[in-house]
Amino acid sequence: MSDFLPVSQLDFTSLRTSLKAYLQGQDRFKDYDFEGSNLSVLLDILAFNTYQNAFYLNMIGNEMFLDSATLRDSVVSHAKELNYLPRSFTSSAATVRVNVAVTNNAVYNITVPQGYKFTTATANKNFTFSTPSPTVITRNSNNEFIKDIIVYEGFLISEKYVVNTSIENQRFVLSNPKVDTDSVEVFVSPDANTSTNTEYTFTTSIFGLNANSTVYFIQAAESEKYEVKFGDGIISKKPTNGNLIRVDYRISSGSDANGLNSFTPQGTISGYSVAASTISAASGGANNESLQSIKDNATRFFQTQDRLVTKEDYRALIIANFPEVKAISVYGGEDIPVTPQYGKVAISCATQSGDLLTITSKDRILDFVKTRSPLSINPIIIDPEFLDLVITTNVNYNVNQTTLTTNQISDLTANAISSYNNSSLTDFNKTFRFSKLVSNINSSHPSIVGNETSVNMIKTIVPLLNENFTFTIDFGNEILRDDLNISRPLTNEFTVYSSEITFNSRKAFFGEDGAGNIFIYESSGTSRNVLKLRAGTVDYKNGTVTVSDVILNDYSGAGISFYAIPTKQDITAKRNTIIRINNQLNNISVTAVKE
Amino acid sequence: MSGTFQSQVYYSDIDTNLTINPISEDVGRITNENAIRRSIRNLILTDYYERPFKPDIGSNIRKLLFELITPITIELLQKGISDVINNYEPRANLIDVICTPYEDSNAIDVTIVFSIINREDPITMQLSLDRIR
Repeated sequence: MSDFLPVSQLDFTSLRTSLKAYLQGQDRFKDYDFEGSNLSVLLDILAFNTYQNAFYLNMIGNEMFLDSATLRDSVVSHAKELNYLPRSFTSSAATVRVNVAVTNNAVYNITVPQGYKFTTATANKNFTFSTPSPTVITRNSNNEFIKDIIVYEGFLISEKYVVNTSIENQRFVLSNPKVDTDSVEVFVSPDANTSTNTEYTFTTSIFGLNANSTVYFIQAAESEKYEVKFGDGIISKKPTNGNLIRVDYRISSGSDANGLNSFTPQGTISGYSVAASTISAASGGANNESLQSIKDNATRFFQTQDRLVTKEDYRALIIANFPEVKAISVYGGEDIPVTPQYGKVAISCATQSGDLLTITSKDRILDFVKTRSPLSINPIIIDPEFLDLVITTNVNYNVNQTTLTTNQISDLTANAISSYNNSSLTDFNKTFRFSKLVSNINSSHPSIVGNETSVNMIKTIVPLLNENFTFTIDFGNEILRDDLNISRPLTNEFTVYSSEITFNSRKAFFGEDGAGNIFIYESSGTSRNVLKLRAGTVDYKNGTVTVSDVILNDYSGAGISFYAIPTKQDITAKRNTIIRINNQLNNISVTAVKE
Repeated sequence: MSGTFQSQVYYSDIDTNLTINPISEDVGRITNENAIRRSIRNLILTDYYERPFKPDIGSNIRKLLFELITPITIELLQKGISDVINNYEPRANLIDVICTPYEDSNAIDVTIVFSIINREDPITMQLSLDRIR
């Protein structure tokens, strides 16, 4: 009889086979092979029990590592080891211009109290926004009481705990999992009957603390909740027996309130009626951090040590703390083209919604960054610029290989371009790879035998009208230079040209002469009539177009679109440029061939 | 029943009651014909899905006991018992299954006649099936 039980696999059948193999080594009990025998029943129980234990151990093994843990409490616990606080529900913030109609001329200051409410609603849900702290509004030179105030979505509530040292490891778990941890305020009174209290401040590290530091920490607790922690009397002050702890915080609806832009003030302020207009719509609200996001961010956060030094630090910390930010590009101010700004760090953020960051969000990000970046570094936020690409393609497909119509082939091609755009572009620091796109188009259907494709770059600017105007457009990629001059035929486009503008009350366009000059022309029959010869310059090598000293009367569409043909078909995006394919402008034609 | 077989032990199984052999102090065992009888009894009294990962071992007797006692029920009972023995007890050549209903006491007597492979003498075992509620 073998001395040990061979176990190589942990499923029920293998375990049972192993047990049977083990029993083959003896002849006292021989009936292990017959399903009806008592021994067989015993083997079933043994195998099942072993299988259950193996499964259980496997699950425990999974939960022991951040990569494989599936329970939220396990992931949160692993993140805690890295000093990472999973992002809580975050309230949407909006900027509201408050106008208090004060009728008493003797009043010069009026205070908007903390928690003053504004209501708003979506089609099926009401939301309350409130002021996070008291704000004083002073009478202005027009005798008005007007101020822009940031208001946050959610309900303010207070939770109280009495410190009881007879309870071992007493915890102060905030009972509502939808707490916005940014809003937590902690006050400690000597006992329940004393109204005076000490405000404790939030801290994330123990640097600079001593036994009298009135600070609190927040850490994640079980079931998506958070708990407030205090020091042990050595690293910071510890509340004593009988102390009353009051925790004020806001319960948020997360991302539901984003985009709301009509706020109604609730009630009067000091007896005076209030009017409100929206300066920036609600944004920045988010639900609590997902499991996958905690796994991703916890390690990055640990790497940064809550300091903003390298590019990756900015990326990790800003994305972890500002859920509205989808992608981020950070570069030194000396790299800002045309007007370098030394000693600054330029931050460019793309948002989940695709819109530009609101003023409120920018302020919050700057406040966040300033406390974590080295001294003498001045952060600035630069809006992202979009470099649109237009794809012109003629797809050849073999009619003998498919029953699809040309329209269906055209749709498949459009989908292939769109999917390349979504998967490989629309982010900072991405490169458009021409060959990848061409190959994507070819593989979009087996009947497609080839394609002839070209790419154009577009940048759109909104000019000032009817006044002298100078601007520079940076394509960031070398522009094709050919030797044709101004008088090239109308069918032959320039390598830089524009959408329609109105110049000197005439419909006109920008063009380039192949020698680095921009001019303005109008179409006249089959030829061109130059209206202004020196309207700017083109730097083909660096891909910049400068238009100087022009007075435009009008333009068509959302702005003036400048088209440029790149020298190389692979197009790169630097700094704050996001490269994307403008699907609406793509020109797709389909040719049927027989092969 | 010991003695039906010679002293040669072909089949051996642990005792259902896990009794201790007073001499060897090992767990008691049942052998040969007794082991097969116990096995058949186990198979008949096992329901489908009762054994882990082996849903098709057993018979449907428990369910049939709650049916009205009719010739069809008796037929189904006989078939269920025959099937499970034929499928899962290769040591027994089934000769007959006789079910005798006792309507008044809500019970069915089952007589199973089989022979052990390589032996010709028939063995009869009786089982009284009775609802406990």
